[in-house]
Amino acid sequence: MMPSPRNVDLEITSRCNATCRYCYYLNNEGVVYRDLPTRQWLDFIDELGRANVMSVCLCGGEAMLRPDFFELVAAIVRNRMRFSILSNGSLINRDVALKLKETGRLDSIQISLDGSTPDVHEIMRGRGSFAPAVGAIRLLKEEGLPVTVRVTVHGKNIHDLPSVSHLLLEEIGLPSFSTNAICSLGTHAKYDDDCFLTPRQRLQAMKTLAAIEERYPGRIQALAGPLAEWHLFHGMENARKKGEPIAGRGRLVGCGCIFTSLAVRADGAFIPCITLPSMVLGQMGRDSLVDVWQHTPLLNDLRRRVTIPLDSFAECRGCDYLSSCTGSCAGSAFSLLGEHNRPSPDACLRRFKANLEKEGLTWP
Amino acid sequence: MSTIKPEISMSSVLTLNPLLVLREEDDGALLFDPETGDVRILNPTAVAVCKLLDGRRTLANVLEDLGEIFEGMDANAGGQVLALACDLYKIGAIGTLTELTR
Repeated sequence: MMPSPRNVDLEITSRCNATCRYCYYLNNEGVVYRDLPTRQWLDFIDELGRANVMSVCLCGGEAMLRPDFFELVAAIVRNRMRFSILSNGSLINRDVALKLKETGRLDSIQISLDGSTPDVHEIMRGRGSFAPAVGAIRLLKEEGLPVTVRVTVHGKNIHDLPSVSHLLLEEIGLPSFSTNAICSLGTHAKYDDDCFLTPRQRLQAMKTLAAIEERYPGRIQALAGPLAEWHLFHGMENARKKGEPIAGRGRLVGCGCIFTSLAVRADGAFIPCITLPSMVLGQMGRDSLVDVWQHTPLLNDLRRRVTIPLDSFAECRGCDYLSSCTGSCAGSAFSLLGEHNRPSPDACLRRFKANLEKEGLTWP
Repeated sequence: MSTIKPEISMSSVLTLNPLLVLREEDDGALLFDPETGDVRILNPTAVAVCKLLDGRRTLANVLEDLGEIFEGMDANAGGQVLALACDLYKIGAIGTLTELTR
């Protein structure tokens, strides 16, 4: 085990100026809406420096809503770290872009954009959010900053994916962008049913993104969501046909973050990852980061999930994909089942195929 | 990591660049430059050298101290330490106190 995490996600605020319908921060009784004072974050950033953490991700909420945002950035720089930012883009102007550039330490700034037009983007992200997001992407690119874009796929923007790809890759000229899909986070998350992709929509999104990827080779990234699943499921299907296992799989190996990263909520609670917001491991100011990282039984139990064979779960026994499956994300499993050391049903290929069949569809 | 002309010998007194992060992990260490994001992987011997370069010891002193840490050192250990120091010096990972504090 590493002596300390290499990267730490810092949810520096629970406040946001957007009202994205699928955000777990919005109207969620499981979220503690309490931001910490500057001094507490500065002390913690010093602690990260002493622990030789290499980079932090500033997120929230909308991280830039904090009036002390650049004070925190200065502390990150002073403590020999690099940083990245997740943002909706609404607070980015030329002055902000130049200040970020001056730090010389920005690894990436990710702006959320779900569609090529206001109508599509704002279905989930709220009125008036499109123009600031696109404006920020253009401005950051113009200033030579490492801007990236995340497109979250849902049932109402699949048809627009070719257009948003064109906007980002051809009109704006980004080298690439990434995609994912909406997933529930935490035990108290409140989501409307139309946030999630139906099996039919999921298949449609997979096929659409795969076609876009063919048109723009290497320029569509996906660690989760329909495109990632398209590749994962095809790999599993190929392994099944050949009757060969995929090395390292067949156990709960879908989550690697817990070996290199940690996250901190806006109220200072240490959590394993932002997908496990209710799994509190300790508290900033009371517990030492290194101690929590090395010794918290809950975190170490989570790390042991990689040793748990999938065939120890009743729902996996007899599955044709047993030796090629990863069990997927611990956060997703916890949200859906209330247990972190279980395979996530959301990422089960056998289940997905069965659901497609119910709708008269087949997995290609 | 910026390029510095290497002019060092076994009598040089060097120190690790305080702007870099030496991050020890299970199977070695990472030398991380936050300015560039560059990461160099160091083996246990290189880590020991970096930790011994404290701005007081000469490279010859470092070699002696290494002998106490690692049993049965290679006869050519002195040459290897000098080569490593030159390599790290070239990229600005180590330097004299004067160079690194100006």
